[in-house]
Amino acid sequence: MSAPNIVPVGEQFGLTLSLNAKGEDLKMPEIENFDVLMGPSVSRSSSISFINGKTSQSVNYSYTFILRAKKEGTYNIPSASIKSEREVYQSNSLSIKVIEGRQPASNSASAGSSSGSANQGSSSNSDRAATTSKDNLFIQCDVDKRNVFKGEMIYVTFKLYSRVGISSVIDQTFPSFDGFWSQDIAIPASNQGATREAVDGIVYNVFPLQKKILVPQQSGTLYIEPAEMVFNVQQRVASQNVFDDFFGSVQNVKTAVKSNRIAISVKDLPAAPSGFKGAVGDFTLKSSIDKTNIKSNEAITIKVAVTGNGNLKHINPPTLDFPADFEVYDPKTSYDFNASESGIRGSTVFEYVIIPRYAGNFTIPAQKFVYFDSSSKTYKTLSTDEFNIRVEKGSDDQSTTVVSNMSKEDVKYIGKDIRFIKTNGQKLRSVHSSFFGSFMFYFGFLAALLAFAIIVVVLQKKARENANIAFMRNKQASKMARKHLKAASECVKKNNKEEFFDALSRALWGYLSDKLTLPLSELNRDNVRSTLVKYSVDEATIGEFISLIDTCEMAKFAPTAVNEPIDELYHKGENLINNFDKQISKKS
Amino acid sequence: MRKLISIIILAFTVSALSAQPNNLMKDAERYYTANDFANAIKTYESILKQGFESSELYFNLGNSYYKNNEIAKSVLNYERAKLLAPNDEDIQFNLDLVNQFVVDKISPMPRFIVTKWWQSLINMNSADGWGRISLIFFIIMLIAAAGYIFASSVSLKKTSFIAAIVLFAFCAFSFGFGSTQKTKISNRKGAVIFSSTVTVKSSPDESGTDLFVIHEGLKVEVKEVLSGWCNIKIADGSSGWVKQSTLEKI
Repeated sequence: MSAPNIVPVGEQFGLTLSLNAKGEDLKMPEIENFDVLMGPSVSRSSSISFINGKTSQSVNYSYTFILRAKKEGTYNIPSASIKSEREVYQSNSLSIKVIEGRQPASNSASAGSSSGSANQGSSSNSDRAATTSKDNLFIQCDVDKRNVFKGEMIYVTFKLYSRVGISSVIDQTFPSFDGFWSQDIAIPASNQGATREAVDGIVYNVFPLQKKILVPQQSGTLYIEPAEMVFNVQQRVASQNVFDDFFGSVQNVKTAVKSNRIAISVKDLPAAPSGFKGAVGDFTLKSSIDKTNIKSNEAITIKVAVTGNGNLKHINPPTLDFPADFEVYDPKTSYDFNASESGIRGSTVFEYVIIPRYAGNFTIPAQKFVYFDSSSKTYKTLSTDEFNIRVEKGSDDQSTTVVSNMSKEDVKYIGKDIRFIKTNGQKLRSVHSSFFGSFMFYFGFLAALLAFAIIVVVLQKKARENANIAFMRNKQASKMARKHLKAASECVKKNNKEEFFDALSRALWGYLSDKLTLPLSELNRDNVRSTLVKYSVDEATIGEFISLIDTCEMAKFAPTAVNEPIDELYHKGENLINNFDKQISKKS
Repeated sequence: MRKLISIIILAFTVSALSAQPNNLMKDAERYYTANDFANAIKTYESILKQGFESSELYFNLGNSYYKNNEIAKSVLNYERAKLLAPNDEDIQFNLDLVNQFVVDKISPMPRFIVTKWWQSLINMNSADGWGRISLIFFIIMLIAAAGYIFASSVSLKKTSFIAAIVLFAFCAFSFGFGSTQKTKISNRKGAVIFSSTVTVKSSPDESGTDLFVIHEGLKVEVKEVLSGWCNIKIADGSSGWVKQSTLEKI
């Protein structure tokens, strides 16, 4: 059962029952508040179709009543029943809104027509003015909200309101929605027909032109620019001809219509917490990982699915915190959503492919996903799961690659390997014991120093002692010499010649030995001259000394050969010692 | 009498114990030659556990670890061997080779050439070697000093005086080198990364900024230790903090 949903008072309209078989015994309910002007008139249509050699046949019977509303209000037409092949079928019930009819300035109310035949909804039984006023044909742009946040969805519809017959659409221009992202909503075929809607008491046939979900991409005041359409509108032409009048002479008039311009004020979102990726709407979050136990250099896929209603297309992938030396590829984003009047529903799936290059245990921490809930106007936080990944060493881990052959010109290295272990049996020692800094080490220094000191001290002492002896001998040299001379002089008195020469030579040699700190054994007639020269004793004294020594020597073996008197020799020796005393002491 | 026997027994056991590590060394060598690296490692480690060490032991252990595909441990033991024998060519060769398996390629900071010479001069000998050299110089210096004291002629005195001063300088330098080497051993600054990958942080805290990533087997210098975190410096001069558990001191 179908009928227009809105009718003005006093207007005729059709109520049609359709049946896909031949029926009989139609029982109509009591139709109150409406005048039944005519009916039921039965019409039958049948169709036969051949599809792929198959024949199908369908029959359609329709029962039409012409009704007229008596007064305004909303009325219910209960269901009717009809019998077909011994079965009784019930129709649906209808609700019809009756409004107070208001006639547009220059037009009579157009007769309603059943849905599906609206394109020819022209009035055929009343006179019409030749103009198509704005009241008869216009495009209305509707939005569900005018104050939105950036990223919030707006539902926009463009509808054509018409009370005239339109023969064709010449041109149509829809706005480009600058500043918005737009998503068309498919208008299902069953909804493409006209509906009836009353505007200010005038009933129009309404055609949906376009339905869109708009998502503002910038803040500020954005405009939805008007849609423009150009139609050929049928207009009755006044004519003198009676037949023309009767059949209706119709002329096409080009008419341009324009929709209203709508301003939308877009606010920036309040200060966003970290983790906000531009999602506005109402979402749930699900994250999953395909495997957690893998070998290195194998790929892992992590999926993060955002499901819900909102600007799914404009969600940036959440940044997962992957371990630093994982190979991470850019996330792949796939969308799956449907746009409808209530918004964009569906899901956006982010797929992260990662390849761990090294073995170990890793954790991908949970990551916050923040979205702006447009209904409560607050930020809400969802969270991905935390994933623990255990990576084992794969067979092709980088650290086990073989050292490449390094070949030279002359010697060909087949491969490279470490040198063989040492087997020469180096002495093991306990850990942390070392010679350096040990007691033995410092003792070595100390011992060396001590030995040095002892040697130096001992040598010094000895040297000092030697020096003392020499000094004493030096000092006592003349004394000793005089003693020997005295003994010699004794011999002179006794005239003991032999003893005299002996004492004299002993006095001379002894003196020199003491004076020069030389042992007696080292002194003889041959070297005494050079020794004395070293002590810079003059030649005359040396000559005298040598001749005196010679005399003494001679006297020892041949006493008679010595002619000089003993007294003189004695004095000579005395003088000689005095001379030595003077010259040697001068030097030393 | 009983006391005497017990003393003799004690002496024997002590000598047996001290002989054991050397036998173990031989055992380990046999394992290594027979390509049984796991047992070689076990044996060498048991010697270390007894408290003995030598550059040779560390070198052989490093070889065993390398053959057993444990690069980080191999690097660690070569570095320890190098500390005890800084001028050993074999150790340096194997260390260089093993370092090719370390993932991180770091170009070391260019050093002043004199500093390089100085370092290689110090590294010519171990602490003990320098200690011995220093002691020998000291003794020769004392001899020269004695020569100065007791020389009778002036020129000899002069020569031995200069020689003594030069020798004293030698002694002092080699003592200094020895103590440098000794400090290196006793105050070990080097460490080897043991975790297969480590993220170096800017502060000793998990929340620190990630600076760079280093991998298993890399030698680093530990500058500071703070509540389980180490401030490390790598060869190119960059530094940061890593957990102490990720590295092993040389």
